Amino acid sequence: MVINILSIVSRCDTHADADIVYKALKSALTVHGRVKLSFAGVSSISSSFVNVALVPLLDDMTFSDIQNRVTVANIAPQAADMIKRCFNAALNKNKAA
Amino acid sequence: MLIVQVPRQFTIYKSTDLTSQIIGQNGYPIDQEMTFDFANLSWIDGGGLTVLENALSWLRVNNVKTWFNNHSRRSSSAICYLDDCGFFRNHTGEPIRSSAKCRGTTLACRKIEHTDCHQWLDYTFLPWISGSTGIQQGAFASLRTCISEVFNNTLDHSNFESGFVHVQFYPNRNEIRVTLSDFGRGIPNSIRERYGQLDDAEAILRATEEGVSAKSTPRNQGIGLSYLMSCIGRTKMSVAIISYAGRLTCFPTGNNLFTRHKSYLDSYYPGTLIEFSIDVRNFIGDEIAEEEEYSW
Repeated sequence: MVINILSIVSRCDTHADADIVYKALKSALTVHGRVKLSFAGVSSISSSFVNVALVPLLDDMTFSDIQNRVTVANIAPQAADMIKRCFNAALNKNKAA
Repeated sequence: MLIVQVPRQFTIYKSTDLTSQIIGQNGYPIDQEMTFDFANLSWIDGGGLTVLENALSWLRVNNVKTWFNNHSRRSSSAICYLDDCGFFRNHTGEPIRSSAKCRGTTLACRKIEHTDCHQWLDYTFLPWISGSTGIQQGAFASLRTCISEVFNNTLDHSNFESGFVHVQFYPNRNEIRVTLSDFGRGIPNSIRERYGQLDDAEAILRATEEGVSAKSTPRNQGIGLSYLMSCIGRTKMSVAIISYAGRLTCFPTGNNLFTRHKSYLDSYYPGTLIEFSIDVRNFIGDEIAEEEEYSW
């Protein structure tokens, strides 16, 4: 199952954008088990977006599950950097808790 | 009727010279009727204009009646600049000069609103900055994200529900300045609520550290301002943050590193003011690489 981000939202900046992506992602994972998330055409993403679209997956799955079941493709360097920062922050917080 | 003197040399560093005249210690307007006197104004940049627009908008929201005086000086370059930015047309219904029009070096001050601020980044800001500098839009991906983070902070933290953004290119210095202002809760108040007693400048400094968050929204992780800091060393831009009586200025120092300097204002700015300065000659844009698969 492939989700093209720009086919469901116009950009990756706000909580509202992120909420749409999170719901689509959760639903696709439930139905198909594995998902490829394509960021083709997205030049930058905000922390608000990653914190609502992707990080909440950690509520229901381990990080290792996410690594196995969610492939992030066609991503620009800035956007990849932001995903890494947000997941590192969330994983460090979980470790400290 | 309160007479408000518009500062003589009006940049973000003179912002509290204006706000201290209109906002009382209780956070409310000092009077319900104010006249802004432009007689002393001899220089204003985009930062000063942003503060002025934000102040007038805040007064309007607080039902304060405002008038202008000594603003029709056609020989004043500061007045002409404001006129070309559409300031007088927006506030009095007509420009000072019939020839007034937005300069090619200006993206005139506009409100930051939920509905279209991020769209503005893609369809107005990026094409404009790329056209002004001759640098590809993709090279500004990190700067775009920094501004998007400030927009999100403004929309999340500002109970006033709006802020302003203005962009100005200074060709003689090869410099672009992006100024963003809101009259919201301010960084120090948000940070103190969660981290206890810190003075205003210390609170701003703390807010720029990774993982430090006001938790204004449940999922907020405190990445936005720390991301902005990481861009300073990498892109060679400078950033000034003013909020209440605190000021943080951040400069690149080489080798992707940067330095932060905190200082204190005599008066306070009732919100947050952020200015990015991009030296076009030294700016290091994002690498425009092939999109690739992400490695978790």
